[in-house]
Amino acid sequence: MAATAAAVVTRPIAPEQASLWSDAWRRLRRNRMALISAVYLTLLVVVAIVAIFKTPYSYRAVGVALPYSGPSAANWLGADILGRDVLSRLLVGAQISLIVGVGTQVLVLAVGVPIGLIAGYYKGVADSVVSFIINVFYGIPDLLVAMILLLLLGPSLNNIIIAIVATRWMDMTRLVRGQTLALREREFIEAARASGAKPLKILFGHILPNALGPIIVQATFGVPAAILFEAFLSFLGIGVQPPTPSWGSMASDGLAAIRIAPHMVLAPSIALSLTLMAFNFLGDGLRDALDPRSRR
Amino acid sequence: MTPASVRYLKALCVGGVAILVAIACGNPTPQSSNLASNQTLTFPILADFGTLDPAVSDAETDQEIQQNMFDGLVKFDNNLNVVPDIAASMPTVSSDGKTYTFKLRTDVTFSNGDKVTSKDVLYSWNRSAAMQGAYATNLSAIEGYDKVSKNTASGAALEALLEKNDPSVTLTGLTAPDASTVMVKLANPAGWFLPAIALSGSTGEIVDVNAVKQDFDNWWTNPATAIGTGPFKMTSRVPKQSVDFAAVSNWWGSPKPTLTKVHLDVSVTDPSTAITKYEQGGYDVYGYGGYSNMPVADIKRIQATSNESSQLLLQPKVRSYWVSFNMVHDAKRTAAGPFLLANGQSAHDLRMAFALAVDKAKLVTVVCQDIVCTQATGGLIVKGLTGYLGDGQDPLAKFDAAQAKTLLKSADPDGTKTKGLTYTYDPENSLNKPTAEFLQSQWHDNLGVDVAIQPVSHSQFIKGRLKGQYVLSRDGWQADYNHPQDWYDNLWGHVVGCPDSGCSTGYDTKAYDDLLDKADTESGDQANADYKALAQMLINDVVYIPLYYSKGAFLFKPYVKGAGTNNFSDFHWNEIQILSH
Repeated sequence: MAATAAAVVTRPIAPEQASLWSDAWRRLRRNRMALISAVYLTLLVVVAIVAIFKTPYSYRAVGVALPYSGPSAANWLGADILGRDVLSRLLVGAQISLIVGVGTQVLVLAVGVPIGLIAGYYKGVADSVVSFIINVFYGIPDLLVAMILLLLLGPSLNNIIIAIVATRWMDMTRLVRGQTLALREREFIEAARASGAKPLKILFGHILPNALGPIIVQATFGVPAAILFEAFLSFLGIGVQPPTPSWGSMASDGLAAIRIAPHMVLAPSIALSLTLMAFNFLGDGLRDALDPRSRR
Repeated sequence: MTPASVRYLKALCVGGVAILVAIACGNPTPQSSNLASNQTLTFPILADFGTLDPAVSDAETDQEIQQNMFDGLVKFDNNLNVVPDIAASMPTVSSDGKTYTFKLRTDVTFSNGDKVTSKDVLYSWNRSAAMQGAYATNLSAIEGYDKVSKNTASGAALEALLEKNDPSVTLTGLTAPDASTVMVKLANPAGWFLPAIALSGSTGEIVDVNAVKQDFDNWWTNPATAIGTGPFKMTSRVPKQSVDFAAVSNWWGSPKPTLTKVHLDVSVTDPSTAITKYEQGGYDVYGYGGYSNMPVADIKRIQATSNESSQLLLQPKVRSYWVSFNMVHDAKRTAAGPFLLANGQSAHDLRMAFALAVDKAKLVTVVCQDIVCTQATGGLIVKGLTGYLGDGQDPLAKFDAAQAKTLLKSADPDGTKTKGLTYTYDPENSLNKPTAEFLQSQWHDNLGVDVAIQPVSHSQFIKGRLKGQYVLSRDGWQADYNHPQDWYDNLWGHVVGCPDSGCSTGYDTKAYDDLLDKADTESGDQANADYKALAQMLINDVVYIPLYYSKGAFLFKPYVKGAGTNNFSDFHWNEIQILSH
């Protein structure tokens, strides 16, 4: 008994303290929809990667089935207008959607975060100029910007990403600017400044890590927005060009045949909807996990 | 038998005999009693027409509508024979084949009551030649055309020149000895002259000088001045919304129109939407006015619908589709590419490789579902027309992937010549996009060449193609009349401006031009032999990749009587009746 009592005494008396990230992970795990979404998105990524090496048929092979034919054992999701396998094209379309969604957010982060940090930290002229440019970009319809850019640059996957970034960078910049404006007045930043830390160190060593939660959430919401925008551009025929399939162009192709071959529209539309929902649920979950005060 | 019975029997017999007599001699129910009280025909055109001025009309829609508003000296009947129209009879032709004398009917009037005389014919044809619309060359056989075609005056200035019969705008071969006689002297004999002027809605049609001079360029837009000799006249027009026509009362021709009104809906631009509206009772006809390119998906659906399948008519049309190469690069033709005539044998082999790499039979099965087109195996001229080479006679229609690969390897061993190629097409026709994707797939699979495909709006596409801006492009032709000259002159002849304008490929050789000039002056077997030799030149030089001959798809409500189509054009509106329904 004495030994036991001694052991109790030597235990740390401070309460168990979790890090921000483990705490967020704990909260995220409690969010069932976010977890299901994460599992779906993980599967989607795996399938998209596997599709680089193997699909049931070549996505560009015409006449593998009777054009417009519905789902069958040989073609699980049926065939399209040229008798191409819809499932194979859907899988390759997933690659396009993920590349566009993730690629766009990487670029948005690369552009939006530094500009937002600088505008928020230095305020004054830099902030005025950045705010003015943001307002100008918000004033121009994003579809118009994208269409003009694609007209000038040509409709390729890279250019679609550039066009979407050109219409989406402002959200991230504005968020980071706002976070920076708030954080720069906090005591720990004052302390860093007083201890002689250089602006670059303050921006990327102190402010950015503390703004990371909202940034991650914003980026997560940005992915489905970019995927939807790409699908819309492809639906209009100015997005990803044939023979590369995109969920948007597949839905567009299927629209003319919706009364005899609804699977041509349903398959890409359902895939698109599920993916958008998954990203949005995950984004919601991350927001709640990283910033519990925002939870209603 | 009682007297009453006898009387009853007599009465029965008399009554019975009376009924039998009535049935035997009788008068079947007059046709008019089957007619609906509302004789309005409604159908959609999926884009507004460009013009209703025969001098400058170009599109099929323009011509399909104009054939109901205007007449020429001769016309095609529904069996495609050239028959008199405003002319009282077929013209007499001089022994040298150069002078045609037309006697006009004396009872022909314009819809405003103006009487038609030979001066109207001279005015209309001189005007058409001077305005240089797309079909001005239909008059190019007439003496003096070369000079008039160089006219640069337009609008009111041209009208002034025409009014005073200025030599610069007067075809010297066109004279009017009296009010009902027109003499046409050709520069050379031309077997194609009569079919060319019989083309409806085109440069051979007669317009009213009194109406035209009120607004020389836009007279046709105003119902008050859109005057012709046809059975219908325009009564109202809201651009891109609707156009209405009414039957001309006491029209001089026959059959007299039964329809009182024709309503064209221009507000629907999507074929599937228009077909749905037809199915919902919004239209009486679909496919008229040059819009018979029905999406295959809709055709398959209608074929599977029992109460609609009988309303569907699939009519082979005189349309041929192929792929064109850009074959000339100069200051006016900006596209270069690896297929140029000037590049000799290696370019020839490349063109042949691209032609042989396409499985055209599979294209017809996959893209057309063996419904809306048939494989073009007998040359560019459609089966059934003069000049068709015969089934399987076009070697460019063959598919030989191995030979294609061999040719490509010898002509472009390192793949540099065929890198970055683009095939350009206009997506308005629902077959063009799947055809483009099919070709892209075939060239990739059978040649290993990646060709980008680029959609360009139809009007821009046509201009760009004729200016030589595309290395590889969608091409096609719908016969205007049944004569090989319509194809060989208008597509590759120097009359239309090859190599530098009005010419898809730019293809131009002296041998071709010389033989074409010769063939155009000939008639009968000699002409046909020379036109076939021209076809062989195009084949030898691999000027095109033949794809398919297309069909038109039409829908007619069961109560629409007399509506139909031949392989050239819609039947005229004055032949249509709306039955009670």
